[in-house]
Amino acid sequence: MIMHELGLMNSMLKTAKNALEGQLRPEEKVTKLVLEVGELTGAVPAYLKTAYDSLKKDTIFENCELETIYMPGTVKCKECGETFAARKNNFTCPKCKGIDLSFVTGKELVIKEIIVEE
Amino acid sequence: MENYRVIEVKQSIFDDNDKDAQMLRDEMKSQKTFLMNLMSSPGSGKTTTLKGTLNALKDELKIGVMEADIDSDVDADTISKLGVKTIQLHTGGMCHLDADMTRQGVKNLGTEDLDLVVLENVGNLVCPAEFDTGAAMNAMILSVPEGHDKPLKYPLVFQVCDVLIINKIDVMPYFDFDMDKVKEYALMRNPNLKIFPISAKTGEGMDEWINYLKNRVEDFKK
Repeated sequence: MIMHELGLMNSMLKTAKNALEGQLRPEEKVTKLVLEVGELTGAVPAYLKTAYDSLKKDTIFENCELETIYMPGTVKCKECGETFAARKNNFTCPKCKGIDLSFVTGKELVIKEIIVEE
Repeated sequence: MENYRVIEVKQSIFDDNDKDAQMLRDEMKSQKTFLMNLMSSPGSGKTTTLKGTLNALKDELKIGVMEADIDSDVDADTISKLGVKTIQLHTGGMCHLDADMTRQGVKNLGTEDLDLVVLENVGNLVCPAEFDTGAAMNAMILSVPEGHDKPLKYPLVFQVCDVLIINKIDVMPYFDFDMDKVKEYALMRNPNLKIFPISAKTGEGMDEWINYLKNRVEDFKK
C-alpha cells in the first residue's frame, strides 16, 4: 500500500511548496511539517513517513521532519443524531442501527502548519 | 533556541490537484472534448463494457482512449483494433492518476478533434476517488460478484461518481447480491447517481447506458 502513500505525499509536497511561496525568507529553513491524517483516509502514518522521506531529497523539505496528527473516524447518524466511532461500529449506528451517516472527522489529509527556523 | 515561526497552512493536500483539475476541465470544455474518467476494481468487466460501448458509438463520435491501469486488462491493441485512438499512460508506479498526469495524456493523445475521451483509471476503488482528474464525468463499474455492500465500504468513490454501472447482472442468480440494497446504499452516498444495471456479456441494459453517454456528450458540445 506504500504506492498509495507515495501519491499522497507527492501531492502534499506540491501543496506545501505552493503554500510557502513568497512566505519563506532567504535566511529561513523549513524544519517541520504538521499533517492531520484521518483514520478513514486509509493512509498509514508510518508509510506516509517512508514515502515522504524518499520524496523530500533535493527539495526545500530535505531537512524537514514530518509530524502526523491522527484524527479518529467519527460519524453522525442522520436518523437519531448519535455520534460514534465509524470503524468500530462498522458504519452502523449503535443506538438505532441507522446507516445513513454524515462524516464528522477522519477524512482529513490536511497540512495544518509548517514550521520554519532561521 | 534559534528563531522559529509557525506558518499556518490549513490546506488539504488535494487542493493543488483540485485546482489543476478544474483548469483542465475548463480547457476541455472550451475545445468541446468530453472527458470521462472510468474507475473500477480489477476484474469488474471494464474491457467488455468499454468494447461494447465504443463499438456502438465509434461511428457517431470521434473517440480516444487513455489506458492508465498499471496492470491493465484492457489490451490497448484490442481497443485500437476498434478504430479508436488509444494510448497507454504511465503512472510511474502510482495507484491513481492525478490532473497533471491526465493533462500529459491528453497532450500525447491529441484530443482537439475528438468528441469523447475515455480515461481508464487504475483499477481500485480507493486512490482514484481521491484525485480529481479534470474529467467532465466520473463513472464507475461495480460487478455483481463484488457484493452489494461496496457503497458502504468505499463511500468516497460513490460520492464522486456521476454514473454507476452495475455489470454482470447475468450471474445474479449465483450470487447473494441484492440489487435493491446496492441501489439504496449507493443513492444514500450520492442521491444524484445515475445507475445502469447491465451485462456487457449478453448486452442487457447496454443500450440505456450507451444512450445516456451519447446524450451527455452531445449536451456537452452544445
